[in-house]
Formats: sequence, structure tokens, C-alpha cells
Amino acid sequence: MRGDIVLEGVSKTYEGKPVLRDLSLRFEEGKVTAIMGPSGLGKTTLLKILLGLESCEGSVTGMEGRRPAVVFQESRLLPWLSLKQNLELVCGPGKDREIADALALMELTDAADKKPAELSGGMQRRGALARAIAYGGDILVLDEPFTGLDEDLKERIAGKLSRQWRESGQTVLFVTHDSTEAKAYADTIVKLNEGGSL
Amino acid sequence: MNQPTGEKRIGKKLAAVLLWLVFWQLGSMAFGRSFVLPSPVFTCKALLQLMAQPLFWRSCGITLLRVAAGLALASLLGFLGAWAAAISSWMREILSVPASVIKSVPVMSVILIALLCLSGSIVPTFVCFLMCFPVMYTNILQGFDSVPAEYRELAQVYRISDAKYFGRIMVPASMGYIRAGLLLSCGLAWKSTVAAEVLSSPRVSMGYHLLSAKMYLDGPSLFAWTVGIVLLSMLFEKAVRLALRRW
Repeated sequence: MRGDIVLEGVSKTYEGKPVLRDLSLRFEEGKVTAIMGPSGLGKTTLLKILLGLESCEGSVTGMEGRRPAVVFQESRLLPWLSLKQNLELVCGPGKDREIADALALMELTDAADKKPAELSGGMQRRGALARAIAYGGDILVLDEPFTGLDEDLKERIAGKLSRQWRESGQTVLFVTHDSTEAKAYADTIVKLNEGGSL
Repeated sequence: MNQPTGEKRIGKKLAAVLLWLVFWQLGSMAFGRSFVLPSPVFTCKALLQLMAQPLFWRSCGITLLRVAAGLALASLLGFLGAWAAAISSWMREILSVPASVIKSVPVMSVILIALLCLSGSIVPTFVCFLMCFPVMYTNILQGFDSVPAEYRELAQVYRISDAKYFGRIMVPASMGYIRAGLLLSCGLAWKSTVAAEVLSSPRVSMGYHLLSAKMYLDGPSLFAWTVGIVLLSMLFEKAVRLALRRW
């Protein structure tokens, strides 16, 4: 078991404007945490800090040596590769089974050989989720993972994912605007307010 | 505005070519001297006569090889240079000097300097390489620089190796720029190679025959060789375009 992820006194400023201010937080190992709050309050910035993509003041511990699997706010599928090739790129060789399972879980088996431009927005989103699942990191970091999915599909996909998270005991952090979604799938909800405070 | 269909487009193209041929014919009639401006019919006849000679095809083949070799070398070194510049700011500074200097040096100066240092038959290939290198280098580097930061972040979080990032993300993401650089260089490669052949005069070359035709005041042959160069250059560009479609 790895330890919890702990943020202490984390602050981030963009061009003089504070985005996160003296934020202290603990994300429990093996739990699903939803990060909520209105747009522009630093939720994505917080995820980027955790992933080491942004610098900050303060300290972040518990992320060292982890293999995060990430779904960014945009799907970020490479347009010149097929969906399956996009998954293979991050997974590396010998992961055919994981890739096939992830595509099946996201109901994308038939779209495996299609290029991202041939997929709808919702399918691209599921493709990005499939990539993160197939990668099999020890922490899942998801930025608004269900955006663009219609209600029925969202319920089905999120339900399947939620069951998988519980069974595997994976640590999951996901950003959402939707309080129903947060209540349904998260063990803990973190609400960010103006200036990135809790 | 509606896009014309394939047949209509070809029809329009043919009409445009015909219109310019008519202007050419009228110009030739106005001059009245076939060695200054031969008519399209005269030029066509001269071209057909040339095409009957094996030397014509040998000259075309050798010039084509020189163009291809110069362009291939410029593409390869342009690619390697851009890659080095993308990962090292020192290399970027070092390579920016020759890239911008060569861009502004007149082709004729390059040919004359090359003639002082190299043997005649290498000069056209060298000049072609030198003229195309800055175009390829600049375009490819611009392509590498414009790879979205999002892809870098993706590679970073998923721990994609540098080699894989370069081959599977950076190069494909820059293909638009690489393609544009190659197509730009195609025309430049032909112009500079033939100009260098004219001045260095290797016996078997299109440029040498251009010069001979001019020296003997053989207008129809001069025009026929020019038309041959233009046609071959267009075919070459089409072939490059076709090859690039695979990527």
C-alpha cells in the first residue's frame, strides 16, 4: 500500500492572479475523491500540480514513484493513429489483452481501428478513458471524464468504472461540475471555492 | 462558391493552358524571328526531335538524379539539423547562422564559389543541396516547435520514451510542415540544379544543352529543353506529392 497524497500550503499564481491559495488537502489511498467547484477555480491546475506538470509553492507528497493514468480535460487522442494504436502507444508491447478489455469496457471494440476524427466527441472521450484504463496506473486522475456522454451512456460507463474502482481499490481523483455524479461515485468530495481555498 | 467538379476543373485547366499557348503564338508571330521566340508548334517539333535522341533521355536522367540527390541530402541534413536544434538551444543558435546566410546568398554566387572549390559534375548537386537545406531545416524546425504542449504533457505523464515521442508524436505532428518544405524545395531544386549545370557545364546534363542551344542561337532547341525541364520538374513534384500521401 502506498501512502495518502498530501498537499500542504499549496499556492499557485498566474500572471499575478492567485489560482490556488494556501491549499492543504489529503487524498486517501484506495479511495475515490471528487474535486468540485465552479469553472476557473483551479481544479485542473490542482491536477496538473499533482501530476508534476505545473510548479507551485508549498509541498506535495505521496506522488513520488507513482504511475498515474490520466484523462485530460480534452481527449488528446493523436489524430494520425487509430484508437487502438493510441492505446498501444502508452501501454507498450504485450498489452493486447488489457487494450482489448479496456476497449470492450468502454464499448469501443468496433471502433478500435478508426481514427479519432471518425469518432464522435463522446466516443473520443471514452477512448481517452480506455487509454487510461488499459495503461493500468496505480492512480487514476480524471479531469471531467464524462463530459460529452449522453445521460444513459454516462450512467452505464460511470457505473462500470465505479464497480471496477471499488473492486481494485484504486486511488481515483476526478474533477466534476456535477454534484450528482460526485455523490454517486466518490467516497470523498472536495469543494474548491474562490481563490482555490477549500 | 461551389467547387467545380473534377471534369470541369480539368476543362478549365486545359482552357487556361490553351489561352497561354495562343498568347505565345501571337507573341512569336509579332517577333517574327524564330530564334528569339519560336512558336509553340516549332518548339513542339524541336522537343519531339530531341526526344528521339538517346542523349536527351540520358541528360534528363542525370539531371533528375542530381536534383533527387541534392534534395534528399538537404532533407536528411535539414531533418537532423532541426532535430538537434529542437533539443539544444546551442545547436539552434549555431545552425541559425548558416540557415539565414544561405537563404539570402544569390544562387549565382553559390554556384561560382562552388565552381572554385569542387569539380564540375558535383557542383549542381551541391548547389541544389545548399539552396534546399535552409528551406527544409526552417520548415521542419517550425514543425517541431509547433507540436502542441498537450502532446508533451501526454508523453510526460504516460512516460513515453524520448525516442518514441520523437518518432510517434513529434514527427507525425510536424508532417504538415515537412510536406510544405519538400514541395517548396522541389521547384527550387530544379531551378538551382539547372542553373548550376549551365555554369559548370557537365557534358551530360540538361543545363549544358540549354547553354549549347543558346550559343548556337538555336531558339527552338532552347525552348524545347526549357519545356522539357518544366515538364520533368512538374512530374517530379507530382511524384513527391504522391509519395507524401502515404504519410
